[in-house]
Amino acid sequence: MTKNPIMLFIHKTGSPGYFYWLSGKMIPWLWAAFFIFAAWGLYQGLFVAPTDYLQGESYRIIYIHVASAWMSMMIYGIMAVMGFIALVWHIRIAEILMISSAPIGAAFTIIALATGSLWGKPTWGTYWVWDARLTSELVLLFLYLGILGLHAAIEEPRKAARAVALLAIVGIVNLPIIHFSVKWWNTLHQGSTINLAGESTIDISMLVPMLVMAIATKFFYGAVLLSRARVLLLTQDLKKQWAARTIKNPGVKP
Amino acid sequence: MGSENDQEPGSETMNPHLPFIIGAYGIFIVVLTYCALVPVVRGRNIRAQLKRYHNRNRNETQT
Repeated sequence: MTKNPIMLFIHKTGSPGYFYWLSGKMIPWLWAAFFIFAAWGLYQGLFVAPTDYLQGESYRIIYIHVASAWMSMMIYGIMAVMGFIALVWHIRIAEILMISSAPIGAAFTIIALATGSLWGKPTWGTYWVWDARLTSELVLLFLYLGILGLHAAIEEPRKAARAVALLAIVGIVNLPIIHFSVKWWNTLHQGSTINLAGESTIDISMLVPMLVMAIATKFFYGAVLLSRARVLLLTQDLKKQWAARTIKNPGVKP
Repeated sequence: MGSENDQEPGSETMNPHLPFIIGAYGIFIVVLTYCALVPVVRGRNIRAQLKRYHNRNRNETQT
């Protein structure tokens, strides 16, 4: 019987030793991609893109605000998918990736809320309003913090992962609320300026740096996620043989 | 959103939005740097702990 190479790769990646080795090889490339994209996106966004005729210079905050807000939602979605995989197929790497994603998602949510607030002051005249978009994003931060707290409260790692997976799956209901809040309710937060289906209402010279920053943050997420997952794996498998072999011969393929 | 081309270049007054932009980018850099450094520090500690654990185990089996 011939083995499907994709299935073989997925099975191999499920092994802690192989995952540790492979992620170690990937991390430097992800960092390099992040720095290249972030440097290009920030240079374009801060120095090349023209000033907005309505918002003035303060609109330049969107290059980090929008990318962070997208990441905060994307990471939660990934956590829920990983949680589902962990619950249904009991794949330990999925549990590790889910737990390791939570602090990164929380960090991006904090950035989205803080930078949005700093953009709101010169644009709306206030740092905060209990607007549907802002409130639902704040609920997302509480979900991340709840997940981190729940994971820390349960000592047995597999049980903690199952509890977190359930919470992540239940909390996914907040993602469409965040996304459609500007359509469903009358909000102070502006509606979508980028439409995948229709025409975007943002000038191309402003759109390109925003998309470049969105790509950069994805590489950042990849690099930090794998770093965190490696540490968590080692912490949980302190007494396992693969960990001893890895420490003895770092960088050697298992 | 659109571009503004009639702004005078080399304006003497400081842009009133500058503190907000610097604050936002400052938060972005600080939070992401912290987020990236935590696993590096923890990884170093856990690898040192692991080395100590396995060295101790090896010594115990030898004696």
